[in-house]
Amino acid sequence: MIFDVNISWGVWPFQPLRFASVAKLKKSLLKNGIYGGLVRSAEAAFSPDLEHCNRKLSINFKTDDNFIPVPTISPRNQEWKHLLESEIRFFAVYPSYHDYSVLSIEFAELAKWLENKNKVLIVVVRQEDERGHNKLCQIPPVPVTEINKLGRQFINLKIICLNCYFGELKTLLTDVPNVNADIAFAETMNTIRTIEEQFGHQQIVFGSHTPFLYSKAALMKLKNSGVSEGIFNAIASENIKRILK
Amino acid sequence: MIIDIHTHNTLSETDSLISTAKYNNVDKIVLLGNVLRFGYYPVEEQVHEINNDTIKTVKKYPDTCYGFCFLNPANGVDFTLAELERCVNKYRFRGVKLEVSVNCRDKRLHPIMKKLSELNLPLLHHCWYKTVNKCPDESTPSDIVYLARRFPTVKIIMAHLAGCGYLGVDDVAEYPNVYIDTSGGQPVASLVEYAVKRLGASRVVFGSDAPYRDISCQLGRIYGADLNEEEKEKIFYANAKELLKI
Ligand SMILES: [Zn+2]
Repeated sequence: MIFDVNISWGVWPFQPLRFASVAKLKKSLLKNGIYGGLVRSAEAAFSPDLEHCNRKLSINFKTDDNFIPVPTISPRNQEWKHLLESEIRFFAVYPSYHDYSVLSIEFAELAKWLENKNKVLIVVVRQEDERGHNKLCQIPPVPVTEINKLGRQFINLKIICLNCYFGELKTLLTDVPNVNADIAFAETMNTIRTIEEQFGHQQIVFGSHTPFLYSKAALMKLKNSGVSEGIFNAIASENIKRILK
Repeated sequence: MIIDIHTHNTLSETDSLISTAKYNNVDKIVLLGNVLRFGYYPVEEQVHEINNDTIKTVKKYPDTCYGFCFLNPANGVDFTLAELERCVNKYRFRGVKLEVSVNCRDKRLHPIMKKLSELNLPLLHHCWYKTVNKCPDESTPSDIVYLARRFPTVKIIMAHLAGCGYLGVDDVAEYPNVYIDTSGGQPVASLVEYAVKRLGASRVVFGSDAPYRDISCQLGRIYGADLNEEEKEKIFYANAKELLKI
């Protein structure tokens, strides 16, 4: 049973995303053994109206389902104060797309609230390989040094970083047990085994970045990794359950 | 049966490359050489050494590995052609690999292309459309088109589908001597289907770019694509079999 922390819904200007309906997306994920996941709005990266994106997402995905809608928030849009009072546990941020630093004073206020209310912060480090960006829309990744620093400042804030490269994991995860990363972009020979050898598996969660990437790619990365059942289960679903506690 | 047309034999990792390929049910792999071992512009002795490493691995794993001769077109023509003949005649290498030493529009590629045409062997060329981190002489799909038009009898495998993107696929669509390998970059969804739609399944070849990439993840790109079994069989096996003449 696999829980996927990295699913998007919506439109993206640079890639036709593959599923025509929510039902088809869910059907494909379920067929691949992904029983649930965290779904965020793709267009929230560019939209000036996050409330609109979040509403659209919540119409398509219900919180009582296993595919949980994750609202996008920004320190530059005060809607987060109202959202934090709700039952919602996960919140996504696109710092690079929304042009702020996770070390800014404004973000510190938001981080403090999330920490106090035991919410989980999802940081979208990148959406695409920067080398393939449109020349007129070059969005740098969120520096993992900054996220590591954020994790040190707010030691009880649970953070999940999406779409980090393998080469970024050491900087990101060192000495911050509250910071976690998904596997969608991390790639080297025998990725999962190499991650296990170098960083352990406690801070690693399954993410596929569907529908931007083929779900099967992340699935095979994990399933063909040859790690023990215990490590497999931790990455597939146990770690995210632990983060939620 | 699965053939991986794009791997690199970095000395320290060769044994684990082979065992990982086997573990993932990849039966045969093409070794393109440790092409960046001496940087972007290797001199003749370095090119020779890189090919010697490939020869060593092919000798060690003759049932699994095929070699491609790595060259830098900026080196002397006599050396380059002699090196190519050495690798092909003595060690049965199946093609030539060019990386980023010289842009493929450069006429210094011509002797190599003429020789490949004569030997009826393919060229596998690195290729990418990059917005950032571009190497000075790196080739793009539009550069590959230039080469493909000039040498229509040589089969050119344009590397890195995800790096070439939709635009790169469109660029080469009209040139039947250009193939595309699926290696490298992220497993961007829908792109394999797009390449098959525009080029036909007979011009798309599976490659992983291991050990820089994870073979299982790269396989997932094909298994996850919305293609029929016949198309997948061509990508995984039949096309490479024909290109490599095995
Ligand atoms: Zn390569």
